[in-house]
Amino acid sequence: MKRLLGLFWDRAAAVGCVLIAAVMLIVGWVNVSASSDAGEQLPYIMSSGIGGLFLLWIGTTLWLSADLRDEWRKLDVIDESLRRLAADAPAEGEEETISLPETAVTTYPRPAGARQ
Amino acid sequence: MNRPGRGGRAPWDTGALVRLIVIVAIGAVLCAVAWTGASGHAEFKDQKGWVAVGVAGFLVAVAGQSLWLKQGRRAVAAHAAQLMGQAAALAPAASGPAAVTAGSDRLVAADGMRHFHRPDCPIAAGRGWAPVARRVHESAGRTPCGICFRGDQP
Repeated sequence: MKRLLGLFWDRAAAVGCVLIAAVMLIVGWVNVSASSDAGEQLPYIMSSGIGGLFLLWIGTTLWLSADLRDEWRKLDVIDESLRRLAADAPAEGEEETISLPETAVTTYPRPAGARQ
Repeated sequence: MNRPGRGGRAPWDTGALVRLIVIVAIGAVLCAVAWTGASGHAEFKDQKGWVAVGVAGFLVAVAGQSLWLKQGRRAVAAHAAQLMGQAAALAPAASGPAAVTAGSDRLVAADGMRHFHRPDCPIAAGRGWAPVARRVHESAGRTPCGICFRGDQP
C-alpha cells in the first residue's frame, strides 16, 4: 500500500482532494440550509462552497497532470526505442534486418497491472 | 519558457511548477482572506465585497491551473510531433529489408482473410500461417496488407 501510494502519489492526492471537497460541499450545504439569514449563510458559502470548489479543481488538475506525466513517460520510451532502432539500422549496402528491442525500454516503476 | 528536454520526468520544468504554486497560493490566500472578512460581519451588505474577493481568488487559482495544464498538453504534443519526425526519418531504412522479402514471394494469410501479409508483418507474427505464392493469394481475392506493403508499388 505504501509503495502504491509512492507510485501513484499524484492520483492518490487527487482522489483525496476530491473526497475532501465533496465533504466540504456537503457540510456547507447543510449549514447554509440550516439558516435563513443571508449574513449567516455567506461565511459557509465562502468557506465550504468556494473552498470545496477550490479543492475540487486542485484534484482535477492533479489527476490530469498525472495523465500528462504518464503520456510523457510513454513518449520517452518510444523515443528510446526509436534511437535504438536507428543505432541498429544497417549501413548502406548491408542487408541486415532492423530489429526492435524485444523488451520495452521503460525506466519508471509501475506495478504489474498498473496503467501504463 | 523552455520546454523540458527529452528524458525529463514531466512535461513541465521547475519554473512552471513554481509559477503554479505561487498562483494557487495567491488564490488560496485571497479565498481565506475573503472568508475571514465575510465572517467578521453580520450584515449581508457588508459581506458582498468579500464575496467578490473570494470569487476572484478562486478564478486566479483556476487560471493558474488551466495555464499549467495547457502548457503540459502543448509539451506532450511537441514531444509526440518530434517522435513522429524521427519515425518518418527511419522509414526509408526500415523499408530496405522489407523490399528484400518483397521479391521472395513468401506471403501469408489465413482462410477468409481479405489481405495477405509478409511473414515479418506484425499482424502475421506468431500466427503460424503457411507462406504461399502471391498469385495464390491474389487468385483468392486477397489484396496486400496496408501495413507491411505500405510504400510499395501496387
